[in-house]
Amino acid sequence: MMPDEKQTHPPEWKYKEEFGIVSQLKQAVKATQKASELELAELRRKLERLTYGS
Amino acid sequence: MSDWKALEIKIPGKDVLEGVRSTLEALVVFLEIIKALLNTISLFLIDFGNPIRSIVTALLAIIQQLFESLKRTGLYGYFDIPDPTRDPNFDLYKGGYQAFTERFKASLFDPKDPYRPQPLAGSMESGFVLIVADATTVYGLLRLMKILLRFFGKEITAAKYVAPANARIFPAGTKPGATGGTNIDPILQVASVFGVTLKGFALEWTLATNQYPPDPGFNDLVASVSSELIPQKWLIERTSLSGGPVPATATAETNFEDKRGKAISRKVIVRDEQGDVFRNFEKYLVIDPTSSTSVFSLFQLGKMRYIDSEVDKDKTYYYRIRAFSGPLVVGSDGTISFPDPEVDATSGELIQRWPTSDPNDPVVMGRPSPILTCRLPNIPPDFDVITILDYTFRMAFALGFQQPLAADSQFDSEGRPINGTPASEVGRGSLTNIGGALSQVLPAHFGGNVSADPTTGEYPDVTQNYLSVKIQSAQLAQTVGSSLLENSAMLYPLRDLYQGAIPRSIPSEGNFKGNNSTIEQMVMAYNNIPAGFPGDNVYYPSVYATTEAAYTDVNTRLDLLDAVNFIKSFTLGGTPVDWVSISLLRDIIPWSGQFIYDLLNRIDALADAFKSAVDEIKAYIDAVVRKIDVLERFIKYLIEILNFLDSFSAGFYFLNVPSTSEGIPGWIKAIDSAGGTRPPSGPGGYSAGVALAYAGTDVSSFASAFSLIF
Repeated sequence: MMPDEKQTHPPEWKYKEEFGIVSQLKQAVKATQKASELELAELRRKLERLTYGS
Repeated sequence: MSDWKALEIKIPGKDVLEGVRSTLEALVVFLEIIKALLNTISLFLIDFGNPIRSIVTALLAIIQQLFESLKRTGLYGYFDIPDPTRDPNFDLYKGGYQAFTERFKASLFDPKDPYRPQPLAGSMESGFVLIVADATTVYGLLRLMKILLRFFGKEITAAKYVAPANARIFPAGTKPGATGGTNIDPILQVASVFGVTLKGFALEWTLATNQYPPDPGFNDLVASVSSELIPQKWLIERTSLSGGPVPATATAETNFEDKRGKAISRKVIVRDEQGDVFRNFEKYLVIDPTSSTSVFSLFQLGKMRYIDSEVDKDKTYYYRIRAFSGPLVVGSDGTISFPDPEVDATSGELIQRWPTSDPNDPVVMGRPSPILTCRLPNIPPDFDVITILDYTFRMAFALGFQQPLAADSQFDSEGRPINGTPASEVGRGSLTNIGGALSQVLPAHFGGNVSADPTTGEYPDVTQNYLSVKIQSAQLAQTVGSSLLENSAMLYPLRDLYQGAIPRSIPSEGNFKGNNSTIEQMVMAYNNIPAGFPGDNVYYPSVYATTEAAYTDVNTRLDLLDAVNFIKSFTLGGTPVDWVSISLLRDIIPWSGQFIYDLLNRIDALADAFKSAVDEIKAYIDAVVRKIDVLERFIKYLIEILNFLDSFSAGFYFLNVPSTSEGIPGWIKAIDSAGGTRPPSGPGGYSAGVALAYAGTDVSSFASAFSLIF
């Protein structure tokens, strides 16, 4: 951080419902969950084809 | 005043820093867990070639940097948090965030505090972050502090309400004012229940007395403060589901695997915040003494009463009562929409929290009373059940139904005596088991010779008027009445039997009215005895005529026996034959079992023929299935992590001053000039919080680490 920035921008109070680390972790975990669910759907389709498909 | 404490991991022999070191170590452990998690996620994502991988990798790098930064020295911690053992009224925390920042600024100049940060202006960079919990109530502040400290690996105890005492429930109904009743009145005796029109249930309970021994920690003090100073509200939980309230469960996986590598799942009990099993009810009723003067007054008298009139008859209801505070969210239909259970960070158990309308003012729920059960019987109007039962038993005992049947007695298919068996044998033996002390009481039989005692002038008493007969009959009537309250569906058939046409005509003698009477009129007539009888020395021929007619008339005895048998059939013991369990295939269609076994054998033989080819395909399918299983478990694991992370959700106010070279004056200036969303509680509110600060020649890694964490 540049010294002049410190001088020109006084700090601000912020209201947050979550800690930053918690928020970022949730974002990463949710994204992983979505990717996993997509892969899971693909695997289920594959299993469907193997068992009941032509 | 709260002191600053040096956050240094390796300072041997300084016990005063023990707690603070634990705090920092907890933060480091927390980060280690996150790092391990991200490593797992990162490795897993390689399989997918997913763009998320780069995000996670970048996050992992930041965490690593943060991890290294926090291990360095030069970090300061300021924990301005309530200590109810020293400040039970939380006076120090009044005044909102302005008071908090004043305390914070004063701590920077406290000469008695050797650990306060003292960055040199011009030669050192320094920065800090303030995390402030701001609430309008003491308990709102406690709840926020609990979450904040849990984030740092500590726990404090929340306010606790003990279970209410002497919780009871009764049917309640309208009772005539002339008898001392009011519009709706709790009924205390079985006999009284049948005499009123039932409208609902009356629940009663009292405030529990605190009988705990003095506790130097939080528990006793906070519980006392909460229950004695804050007018708590009450929650009545109600359900009518068969079997009562259902314990809440969730599905969780064990560490055991089946043959295919799939984790064996099991049902896990969900608990409440006190560690008790959480039970789901259908409806929730809130009683708020703070908004109702009358309820508040009753509360001050120590006894609470609630009449629940929105109940159906012939349905069993289950109730619990518990104290609570906070804005509990209850729907207009009396239901509560619960959030998903959370995984408790320390115990690892699933915890069900109560929904609040204000995240800064939590619901503090007390322990419940035992489960109370009650049922509103559907009582037919104009049918005095207890009196009828009482008089029926009196008449039966007076006619000798409790006496054993003579061994040579013979009866036809309708129960009439034959082959010289006297009419007085009809009905005998039917009440042998419940006659109690009346086995030696013989029926009064005068044969037309009724005369006064030459000495006293008193006429003979009749058996139905004996005190022992009355007592035994009254006890049996109470017993049967209690049973009828539980099984009130039988009340209408009972009434129909008593008030319908009498099965067999009875004589028109004494008080009996002959063919046009009912069983009800018959037993009432039999027990129609003048108040002064027999001590008033007056001859009442109708009493003796009635008694004699009933004793000798077969029809009268058989009609009474019908009533006695009906009462016995549903209250005083079961009747054979018992039900048995049967198997459809084995017992009803025996040939079908063999047919199915033959079919299964042929299918097995067919499968063997294809076994070799099928095995290879099956192995591949098993691999796919196994991968699906692993993925499903992984997704559940992620959901558990999300639940854990959600448990940290609460509204805090942050002031982050990443870096300044102006020393402490620069900190003061930053606080005074800070804009944005300040904590709003003001002079009437309560504020507490934590400050983490750092100082050194280069604090850029701290600054980035703090901006990431907070």
